[in-house]
Amino acid sequence: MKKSPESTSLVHINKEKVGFFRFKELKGKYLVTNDSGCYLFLTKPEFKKFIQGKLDKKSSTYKNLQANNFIKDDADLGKSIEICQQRNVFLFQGPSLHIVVVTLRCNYNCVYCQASSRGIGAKGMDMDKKTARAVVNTIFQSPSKDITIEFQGGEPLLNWPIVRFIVELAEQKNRKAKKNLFISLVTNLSLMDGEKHAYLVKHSISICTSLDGPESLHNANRPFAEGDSYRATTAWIKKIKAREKKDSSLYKLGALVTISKYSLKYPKDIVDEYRKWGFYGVHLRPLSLLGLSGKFKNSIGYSVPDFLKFWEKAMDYIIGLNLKGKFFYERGSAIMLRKIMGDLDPNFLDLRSPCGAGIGQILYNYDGKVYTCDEGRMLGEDTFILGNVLKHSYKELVSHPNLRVVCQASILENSACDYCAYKPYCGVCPVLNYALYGDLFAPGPDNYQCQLHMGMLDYLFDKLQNKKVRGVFEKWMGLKKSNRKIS
Amino acid sequence: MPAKKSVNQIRVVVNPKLYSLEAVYGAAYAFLDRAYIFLDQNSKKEILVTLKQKEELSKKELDVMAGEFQNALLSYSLRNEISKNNRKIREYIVGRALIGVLPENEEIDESKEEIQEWKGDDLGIAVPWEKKFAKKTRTKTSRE
Amino acid sequence: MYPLKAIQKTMAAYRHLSTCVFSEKGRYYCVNMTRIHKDVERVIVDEFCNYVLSLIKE
Repeated sequence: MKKSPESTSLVHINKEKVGFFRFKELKGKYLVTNDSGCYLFLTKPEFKKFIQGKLDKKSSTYKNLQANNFIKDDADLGKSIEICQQRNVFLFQGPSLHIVVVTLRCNYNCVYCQASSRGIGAKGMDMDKKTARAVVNTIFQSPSKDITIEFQGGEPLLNWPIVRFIVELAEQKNRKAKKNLFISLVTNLSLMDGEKHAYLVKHSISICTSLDGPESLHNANRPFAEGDSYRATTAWIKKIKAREKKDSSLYKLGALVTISKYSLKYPKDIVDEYRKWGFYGVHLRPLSLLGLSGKFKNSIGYSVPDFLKFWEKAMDYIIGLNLKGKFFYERGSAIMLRKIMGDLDPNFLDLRSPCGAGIGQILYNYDGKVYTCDEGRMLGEDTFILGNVLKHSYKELVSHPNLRVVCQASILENSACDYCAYKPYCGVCPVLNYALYGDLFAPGPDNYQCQLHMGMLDYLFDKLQNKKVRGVFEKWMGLKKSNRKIS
Repeated sequence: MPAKKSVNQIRVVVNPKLYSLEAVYGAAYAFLDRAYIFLDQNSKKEILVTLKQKEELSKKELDVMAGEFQNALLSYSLRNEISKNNRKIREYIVGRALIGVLPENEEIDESKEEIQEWKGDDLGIAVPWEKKFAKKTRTKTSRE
Repeated sequence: MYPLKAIQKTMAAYRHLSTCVFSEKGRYYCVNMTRIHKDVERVIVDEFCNYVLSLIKE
């Protein structure tokens, strides 16, 4: 390349033609992405011509780049602004997810418990009515038109009266507030009975449980002193699924898996277990490394490469099933793919800039303490506290300096992440950074979460180059035809 | 760029007329997980980047690492140029996008209490977008 | 080459691993480390320099 006499730069870019983009070399090609979340793969010669502004306007490469807002002097600014709005609309909505920890007591002893729950006989670990009322009052002060109340624990069914109290009070308040109210309950199902289930159905409460895989694996991860935790959970999975078949208007039962060291040998078995029980998807979540899973990471944890190896095997198997005509998806990838292939942000709080802490979600603990997020609570200390519902107003809670600090720490534009090709599809967790590195910002390319996301996105982008697999992903998105013009 | 080897480490000499310090920082950042990086400057103002191995590497592998570092320098130079050339238009797009979400003719009410609340916000995170990108048609508030 | 703020932040982050004393010598900033924690003596200097570099990007 010739160097212009005035220029101190080695790289000659056509300033008029080349719009903003990020890039990464991936298996011999260049992946280019931009602020609109658009992406394209270019060969090396195409990449060179692109940055020099020498692409033939009639070529399919030029047309694809232009259609996806990479060409500066041929860009649709109005479209860029619209996409930017859609991708950041969550900034103006206020917290929509409100997690209510009705009790810290639990009848299980999961090896990776993030909630650091207490035994069933522990005293003073249940939310009382006064606190519950203050929680509901605070929730309805959120400006968000969508409100999700998610019951967590411990095991929330151990404080069933307060669950009912909150549900009914929220419904009562909503008659006036007219929000889109959605209520969900996270439970191990061991304490479910006919009466409770009927109540949940009557009030349209969605249920989510944990199913870690086949019986021996599930029991190894989730010991239950009173019996077999797998049988206790699956007995109710069977009943609920049977009811879903009869009444399609019911919310579908959800289930999550947590991958421990014991799970790594069973990628296919875990997927098959979910299919066996009638689930159409699975979320292969790595350990959060918070709570007990952080404390015992040496015995139940694994390295990022080990997790990615497991995850890729599971994904290969899932994709294979889909190519044989059997619909099944992996939820974590589906969320990332929605960010890659669509213009509307799925608003997954862990994958956005800034993250959802305090501005997308808030957690209310059994004792009234309010945290920036679920992860803030899992840390087991008060570092990420915003106040207490019994003492502080909604405005005081959301104005707390902790909220601003966490927000700032998760803004990708402020960090080295802004150079990364995957920035439009990624997010950081300041709480996790603090837990692992003692620093909200936790710089470094060997950052645990960065490595995880990088590995997953490398895999997904590699697969997206295959038309058949891309078609599978489009089905997961509910897209018959992608709205992006990509050859 | 010349590379000088010694036991466990290799030095790359960077011409500051060709590569900005920002590009050096960017490339160094990308290598922090693989090597210990030390920066210095000689009397000719050349930037000296020493890459010291974290794990046992052969001489050939050290050479490869130096080559990859030089490639990273090129990549980061490109990134910096792209960023510089597009800064204003990016700010415009984001500003228009975020202000566009607000309803029209919204009065910006800055009560004394609110101004007090923004104090101590040295980084300006809490400065509302509507202040930064206010349309000319909006009613400007008066401060006491 | 190394911004002062990044060095100061690193010194604060490393205070539990060693006692760091800052000084200036000509064109260089010097960080003198004493009472280094036994577990990190082999690597602390190298890791310190890398940490400073990582902060520059933030």
